[in-house]
Amino acid sequence: MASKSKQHLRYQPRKSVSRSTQAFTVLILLLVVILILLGLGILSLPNANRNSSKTNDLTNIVRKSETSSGDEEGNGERWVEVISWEPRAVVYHNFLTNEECEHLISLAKPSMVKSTVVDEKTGGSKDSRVRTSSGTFLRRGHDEVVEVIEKRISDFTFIPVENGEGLQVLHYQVGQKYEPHYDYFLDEFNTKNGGQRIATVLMYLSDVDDGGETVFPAARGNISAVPWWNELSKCGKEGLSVLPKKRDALLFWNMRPDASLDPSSLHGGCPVVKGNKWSSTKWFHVHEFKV
Amino acid sequence: MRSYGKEKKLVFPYVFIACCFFLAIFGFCFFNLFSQGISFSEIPTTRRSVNDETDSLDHGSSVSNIPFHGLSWNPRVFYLPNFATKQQCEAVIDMAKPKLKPSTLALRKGETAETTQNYRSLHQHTDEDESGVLAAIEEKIALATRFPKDYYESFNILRYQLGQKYDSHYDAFHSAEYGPLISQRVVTFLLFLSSVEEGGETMFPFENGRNMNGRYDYEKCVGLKVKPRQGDAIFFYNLFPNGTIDQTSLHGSCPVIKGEKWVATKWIRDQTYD
Repeated sequence: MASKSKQHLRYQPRKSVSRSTQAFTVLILLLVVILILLGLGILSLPNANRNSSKTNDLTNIVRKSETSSGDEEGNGERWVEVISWEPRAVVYHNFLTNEECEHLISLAKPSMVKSTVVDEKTGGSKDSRVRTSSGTFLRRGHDEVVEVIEKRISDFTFIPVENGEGLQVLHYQVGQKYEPHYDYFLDEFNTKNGGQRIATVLMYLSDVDDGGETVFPAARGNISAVPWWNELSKCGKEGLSVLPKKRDALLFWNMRPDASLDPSSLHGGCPVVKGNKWSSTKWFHVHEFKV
Repeated sequence: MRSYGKEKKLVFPYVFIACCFFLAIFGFCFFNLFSQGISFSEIPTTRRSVNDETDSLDHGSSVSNIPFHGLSWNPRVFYLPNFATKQQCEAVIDMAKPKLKPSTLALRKGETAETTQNYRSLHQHTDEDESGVLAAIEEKIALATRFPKDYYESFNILRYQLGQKYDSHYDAFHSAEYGPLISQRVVTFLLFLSSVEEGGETMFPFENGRNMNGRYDYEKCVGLKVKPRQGDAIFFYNLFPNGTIDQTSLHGSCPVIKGEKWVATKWIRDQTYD
């Protein structure tokens, strides 16, 4: 009797503990499953950026922070400034981050060569005194950082990434320059791939102590009305000029909206008077450019 | 007694594992929510100094950026959330209400005025607007699209009532249908002046080449649809970068099912336009 009673007591408590544990576990599992479904649901929303990588997300987060943390002078704030309507030219201030500028420079440094220009007779490239910088090309989509930058440029220009050439990185030392020229082609050779060059994005990867401006000698309008007139070098005062400021991007169109060539897009790189100039250029064509 | 203690200990690992899993999932969801919120690219607009003479009460505080989002590359469609304020939208509607008249369209062969009358519209010149609201909107359109104001047609204000729509059409002129062209419409800018309870979407039936192989019913409401929300705007390119017509730019306005739709259209030409 006594032993029977003991056995009964032991059996009952075990059952009750076991049941509550199982129930608890099931509830937890259900909760987890529901949360997973919510997560997937969020992923499937139409607005989700399926192509974004973690690097891209982090870049966006960093950029977002910069926007909100800009000081009164706008040193950290991104903003667009219309420089000219003829040619159509806008400056996008603080387009790149410091890290992106330095990344492009470090990618380019090991393979810099003397820059060339287009031979108007053959369409090929040739050495020249017109252009005395050194440079190199980065293949389109070279790495994740380059890919992020190229997508941002594409969004900025409203032109698909596929119409863009690879990024060119240029280095100008004291005295080095690029005489005024057009970015559109007057020969048939270079328009075979992608057609005519419609737009140019010029990104300044470094500050320059003096000189190194981008100048538009044929721009229409009062060139001396710009707020930075007194900071310009002698060359910079020979047209509408943009000061090379690290992280800024200059976008200008080589063609008018009616797809005719725009002669007012004539532009040059002023000689560096003091310091160093690093810049990166993205050219866009009217059609897909095959790399 | 000892056996009771053992059983209690066994419960602890389950709870611990569940908590870790819960936190991981929560963090995952939160991160996705956050990253979605920043999927927009931003094109900041010009910062205005305090002394800027063009500042006025209508502008309010200076606009620091014009966020936009690419909806499609075929055709190139860009979405501008909160492009105009509710007050600006209502001001434009109030301006247009007394002047609305049946819309007139450039007629193609076989069309008459009656067959194209689906809504009412008004051409509103910016100069006639003393309040400066239209001028402010135009200024912002120039910054967002980067086309100068000289290239703009006057505003076309449209009202769609119940059941009214605009069947699929091109804004660019096909020279075969309209004769020799002086200039072409490069870009169409649409500012939604009102939200619509149901229907009234702007649709692109040929988006990314859809519906282009067979015969497509021009009255059907299919493809990429943009729901009108007061103050939001979209603009899209009617032409490729080389100036030829982008066939995927075919678009229309879906029938209004509930409510009313007001929209302001700005057509941008490829040359200066008087």
